[in-house]
Amino acid sequence: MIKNLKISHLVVPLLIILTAGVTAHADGETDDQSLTNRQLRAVYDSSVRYTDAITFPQTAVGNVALGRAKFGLAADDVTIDTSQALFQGTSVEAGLVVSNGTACSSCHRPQFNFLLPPTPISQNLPPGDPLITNRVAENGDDPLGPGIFDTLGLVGQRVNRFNPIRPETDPYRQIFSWRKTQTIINMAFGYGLLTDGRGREPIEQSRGATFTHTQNTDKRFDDLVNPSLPHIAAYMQTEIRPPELAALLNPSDPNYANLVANPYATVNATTKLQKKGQAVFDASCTGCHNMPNVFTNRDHLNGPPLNFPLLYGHTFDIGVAQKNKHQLEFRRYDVATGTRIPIVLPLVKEDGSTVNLTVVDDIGAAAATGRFEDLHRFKVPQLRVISQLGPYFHDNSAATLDEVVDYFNSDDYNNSKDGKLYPIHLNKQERKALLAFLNVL
Amino acid sequence: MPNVEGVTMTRRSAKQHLLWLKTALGILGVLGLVGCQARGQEKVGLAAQADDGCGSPYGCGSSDPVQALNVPPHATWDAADDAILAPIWIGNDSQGSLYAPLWRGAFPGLEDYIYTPANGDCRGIKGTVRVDWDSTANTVNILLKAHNLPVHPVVQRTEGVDWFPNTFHNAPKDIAVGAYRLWIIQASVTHKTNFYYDKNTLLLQGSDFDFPSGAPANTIPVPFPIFKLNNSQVFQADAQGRLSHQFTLPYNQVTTEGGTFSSAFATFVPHDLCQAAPLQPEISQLRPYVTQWQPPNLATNWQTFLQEGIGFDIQIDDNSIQHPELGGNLPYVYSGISVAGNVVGMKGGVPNGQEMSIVQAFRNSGPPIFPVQGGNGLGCTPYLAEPHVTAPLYCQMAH
Repeated sequence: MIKNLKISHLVVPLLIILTAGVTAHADGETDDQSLTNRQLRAVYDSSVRYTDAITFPQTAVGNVALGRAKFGLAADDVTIDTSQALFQGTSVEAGLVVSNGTACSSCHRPQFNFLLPPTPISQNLPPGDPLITNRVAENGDDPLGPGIFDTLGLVGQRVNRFNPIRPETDPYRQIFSWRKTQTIINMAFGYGLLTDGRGREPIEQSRGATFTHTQNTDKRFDDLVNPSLPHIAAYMQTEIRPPELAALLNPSDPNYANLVANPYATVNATTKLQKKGQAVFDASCTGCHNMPNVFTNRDHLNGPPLNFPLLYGHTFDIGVAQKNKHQLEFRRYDVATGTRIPIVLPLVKEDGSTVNLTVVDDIGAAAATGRFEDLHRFKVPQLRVISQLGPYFHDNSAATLDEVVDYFNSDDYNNSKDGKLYPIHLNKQERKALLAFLNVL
Repeated sequence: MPNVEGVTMTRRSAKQHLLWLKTALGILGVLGLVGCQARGQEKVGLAAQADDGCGSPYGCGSSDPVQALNVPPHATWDAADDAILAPIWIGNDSQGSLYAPLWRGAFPGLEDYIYTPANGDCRGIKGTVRVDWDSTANTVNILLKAHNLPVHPVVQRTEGVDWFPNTFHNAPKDIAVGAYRLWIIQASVTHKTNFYYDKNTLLLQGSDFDFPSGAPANTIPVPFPIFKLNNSQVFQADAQGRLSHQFTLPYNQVTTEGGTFSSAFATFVPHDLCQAAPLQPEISQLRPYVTQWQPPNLATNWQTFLQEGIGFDIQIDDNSIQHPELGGNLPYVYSGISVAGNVVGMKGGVPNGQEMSIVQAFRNSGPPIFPVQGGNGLGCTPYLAEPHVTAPLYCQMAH
């Protein structure tokens, strides 16, 4: 009896330790290393000189009307007109650049708040739409691409695809992710663009999008796209809702000071529940969503974006990527063998050591920075008209705002790296109130 | 949500900030320095979010670099210098401090030669830089420290291997009598100047700095980013191989140490436009180009430096020749022999054993860091940083 007790006392803790070890290892850390990794992450986070001044050095200058046409929209800002749109032409560098028939407006559709149509996309588009019939450029050779796009609204991306310095066999050239199409609404107020924040300013973001969606090669054609990009960027930054937020872009505007001082000046929370929700939001959400009246994140490097390497804005790990709700595939597809091959990415830790990470989920900003401390980090989205911008998160893993709030109220969030720094615990009344508030944004 | 001088904190981080503040004030109070240091605590921000009880991610010991930044700098190498892994900032543009590690190979220019000890042991090479600025006092105090370096560094390069003749950067191949110099580099790529290429030969003729009265005849102008370089005087290591050099510059007009010049400018451009792939610097010839030293009245203020993304690099320089007319500077501007540096404007800086890829950072086409060739351990070897000495003759290729 005594012997049995001793064995059980040993076995149970051992099982717990082993289980915990396996779980932690899946996150790229072991229990022994977690303290060190946490400290290194804090060292990394404390090394940046952010400002939260409400200024926008990333604002693009260009011909808005021309940019709209290049984006693929008519002058009414609603009708899709690709007659002048970017995405194809003759490049000195790359020869004839052949579009797959799409333009910016194909995925950023005005009638859907500059998002893709609802899924399944094929059932919400007319027959023969190039978004469905010709997706070679976006999907490459991955046979999963069309289905993931159609059913989940996610687009395959290789963030370092156009890097000619690294060989094509370099895991940084191979790393890919499945990301949602983001709205262009209020992108003028974001520090860092694309879901992982790797785009420092809108011209860079537009260039990346253009390359990605044009042809299934890794050849750049900057001479074709460069002249149009400032205009497209300038146009996109005019999509502002509600329009009075434009005052934030101009410190000399009479309403600027009011919008900065009153984070909810343009929010119409009228009912008791909505007002309570605003208070809940203020207490629980503004650690990250702290840009007044826009509710993106206001931290950014203290200077114009192109003065710095990545990342210009502040990104966060809230655990969504690791959850990988849709069980997305992150092993690369090898055409020659028809098999999936794991991507092992060398990520650098702040102490100079390297972690060879086998990629099993969307590693977020780390794919662009190569930093272990950037694992699973994404930028903070703006929240105006958020009720109309679903599905949510970078992987469309939350269909509704209810699901979003429930996620932030869950252990998955609160045990995430930034969830531990900004914990959220809502009771039923607070949850209900917060949803009422989010629905009036 | 308190908002203190531009730093946003959650309620949780505000509590931690307060705890940190109490700790720091306690230490400073003992030292009688509360009055002059409290100003620096307004923008610790993220450092206060993830501490282990004392406000510092490094822990709470005497070697804590965060606490070291809140007391006057030590001129000699100390435990905090050993401990620091990444830049630490406090304060704002007007008044603040920076403390950062400098690693071998972290921020060389293209075609720079990376210094390697003769014994092939790079494990001990490390520097730190501490900058304290105050616009009211009109001062920018800079303290550079490093250790495990030769007292009299000697560098011998081989033409065609790790040194290439360069009309536009006439740095010496060898240095027989060496000393050290700190460089402050503005990392901004938003400043551009025109470079002029002969229409017939496509060879570089110079830039706006060489032709201040306008474009020379029969040339093609091409704009390229250009980087500002400021420097210290040369200094030597002590008998134990330790560097410690401190100097002060005016905040409102940041010049070279001694004030003879405002700065020089450097960049990396094709010397033969035929070897340039249009708009694709990654696969083009990119060679160093430096300007003459610029007059002191062109110096900008320190805020400009802060907002343009700063980098540092210790280089080995020739200590055998003196140019009194240049105020301690040399006509070739920089030697291209890098010892240790960092890019403090980038989150995390450059970790030990990594190198900032200027081209990839500029293009944002991949991670801006990659491993130092051969590593920074035992058996390290000298190498050239990102050489783009030649490239295919793109202008002769059919499209």
